Amino acid sequence: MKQLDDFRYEVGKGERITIVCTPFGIPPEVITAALDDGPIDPNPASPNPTYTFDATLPVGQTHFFKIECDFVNAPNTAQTVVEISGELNGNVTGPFSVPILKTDNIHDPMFRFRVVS
Amino acid sequence: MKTKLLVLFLVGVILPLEPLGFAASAQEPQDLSIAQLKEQIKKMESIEKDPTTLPEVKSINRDFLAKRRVQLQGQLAKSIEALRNYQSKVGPSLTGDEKKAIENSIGLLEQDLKDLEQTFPNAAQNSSDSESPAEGAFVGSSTTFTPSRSSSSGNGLAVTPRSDSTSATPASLALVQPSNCYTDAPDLIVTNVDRAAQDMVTKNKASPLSAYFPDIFFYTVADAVSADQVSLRKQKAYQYMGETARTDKQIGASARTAGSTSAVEKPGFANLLGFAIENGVIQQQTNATSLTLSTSPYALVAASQGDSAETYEKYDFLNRIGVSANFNLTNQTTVLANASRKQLNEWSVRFRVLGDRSTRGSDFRQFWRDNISKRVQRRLVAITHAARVIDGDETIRGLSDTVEPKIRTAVEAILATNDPPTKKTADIKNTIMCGLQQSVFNQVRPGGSVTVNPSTKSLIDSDLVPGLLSAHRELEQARKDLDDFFASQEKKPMMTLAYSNLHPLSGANYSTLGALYERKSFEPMKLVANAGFSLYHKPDSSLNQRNIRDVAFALSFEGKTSSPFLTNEQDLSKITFSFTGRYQRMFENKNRPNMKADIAVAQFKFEIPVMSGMSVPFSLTFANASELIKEKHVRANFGFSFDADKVFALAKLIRQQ
Repeated sequence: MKQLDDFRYEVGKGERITIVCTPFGIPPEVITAALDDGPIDPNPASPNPTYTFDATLPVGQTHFFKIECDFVNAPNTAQTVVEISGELNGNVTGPFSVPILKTDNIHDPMFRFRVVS
Repeated sequence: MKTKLLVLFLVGVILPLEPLGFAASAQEPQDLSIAQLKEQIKKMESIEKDPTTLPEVKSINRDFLAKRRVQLQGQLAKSIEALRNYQSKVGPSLTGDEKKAIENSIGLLEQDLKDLEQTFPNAAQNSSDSESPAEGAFVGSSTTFTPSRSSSSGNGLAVTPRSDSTSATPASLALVQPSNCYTDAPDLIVTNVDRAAQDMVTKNKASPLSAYFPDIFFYTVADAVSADQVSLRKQKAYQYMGETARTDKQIGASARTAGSTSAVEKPGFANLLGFAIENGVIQQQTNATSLTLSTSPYALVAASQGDSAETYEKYDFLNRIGVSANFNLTNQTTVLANASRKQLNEWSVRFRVLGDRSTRGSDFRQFWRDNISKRVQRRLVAITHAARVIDGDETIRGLSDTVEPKIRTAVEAILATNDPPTKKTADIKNTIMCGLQQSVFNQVRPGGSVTVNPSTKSLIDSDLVPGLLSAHRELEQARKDLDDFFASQEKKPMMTLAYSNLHPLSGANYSTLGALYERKSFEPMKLVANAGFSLYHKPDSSLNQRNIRDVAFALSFEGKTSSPFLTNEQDLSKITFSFTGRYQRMFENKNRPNMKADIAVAQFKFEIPVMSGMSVPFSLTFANASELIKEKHVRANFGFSFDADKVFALAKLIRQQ
């Protein structure tokens, strides 16, 4: 996995992508996500919302992961820290950390994972 | 006819080119290198110029030529960006020669890009006699968005076509004013661009553009080709499920404190999580005569361990406890200087027995899971699904890959200026809107230069746009349900036990113990009841004092209604009013001259929001006596209350809209 910027990544075909969201000042329930053509639910075994998927698209195409954090009645210090990592053939890259703050204007960023090899 | 064209194309173009390595079937254009693309473009241009080429072949060749140029532009822009990234990451480690080599490479690529842009308009001009729908196709998309500062007008227009617009850019594009781009864009686009621009300036980096580019690119394509453009343009942008009115937040000291306008205390005060850590571990509130500092043990733990779900789960119990201290306010300049033992009026500890109205509580979490989460997710799926469809269309993906780096480069240039944040934000918004209009909307709309695959268009019409609009409708219902949930939460009973340690200006110190209870009564009123007693720390028998100082009961009916003074429709603050009766038995006053043991108080109180975040509380109190003298009296209190959080939330909402 190669990070181009906070929201764009290049991944290898078959790479396992893991996204861990750690909420501060909000309950984990207000974090919601979607992947490509459908919903994606967090791993129930993880205390913090954790999403895992494999890069299965043809080379050149992109997986789209969109997340929304709703800071309902949350303190201004509330935030969710999104940590992204990839694993391909036993090699782990990341985690790349991206905070989503209540004071940000964007609470529903799209993360992109383009399959490049 | 189609078969005939295909045969002509195979005979006239593909076969002659195959020996030259033009293996389009084996390698997609986006996978080709810059050198390969240049070679293909050269061959296609020679076919274009060849007078013997059949018109049908020319028409197809022109389409392919235009696509290759877009691809080449994208590759050049990517390479430039990659080299610049490399330069910024390892620059300090490079030798002078190595740095020069990179600069040269960037310079060559930029020259190629510039040359390409200059040839595009020529290509458009050359094809202007043709009836091909591809003519003029990539003029807009070849436009490089270069931030420019208009010194004459002073409006700092962010975007101007870098190519020579007087000679090359078609009139329709040349007339587009950068400060006035895409004025009829759907609200979905405008709001997202606005949010991204503000975050880019705040964080001083362009990555927030990446966070929203797939969304706004899809909205623009859909706006250009959708059969239901009208509905798309009518659709209001999504507002997050944000701050809602909180009515159980008592600002100020307890009812016994001097200067307080309250004759009754609300149990919601103990639910400190909602506000104790809002602005830090300790919260500060002041009125005209006193300063109140409040916190909770949970806030202290959260400050050290992070206010995560895990911490909350582990230390939930501490969230039931609230601590506050109230001080006489004598130094108005340095408010915190009043927080001394000498000026301490009271300190108190409260424990919530019943009712958790915070969004961390189990009731809210269960409600969110059952009623909101899936509806929020549906909108996300609508957008990621759309992004996938767009990504699966090679032509549209190519356009996106070309446009995004150009906009990003222009945005980075704006961020690098010394302009004030407001100007940077405006310039970035203009840059993005102009880029979207000129290089996306104008190109993919019917008659534009980029032909959207019919299957993609069909999906946009039948699935993507209806799905998106439907998801938005569901979210509106979800928002109403959420409001109803909070309204129902307010109806639930809440009970708090309170201990206060009071230090009156005159007289002995004493403590109070009491229970505070609140529940909904009849619409629109709710009932708040207090009961408690107080004890002297060191009773003075010469003053007829015993251990027990007094017992007191209070009953209050409170209501609220809309404020006619607020001009901002986003501000949902209400006028609150209450009628309160209070009875107190002061044991030491019994049988003492000019003293009354049974004290009755009636109070009318209201608080009027007069402008965003600011309200005026007022109370009028009638009493048959006070604790110190047997004399009927009427007392009026008023002040100003300012809620910075509300002002912040409102300002943000207004900006977003």
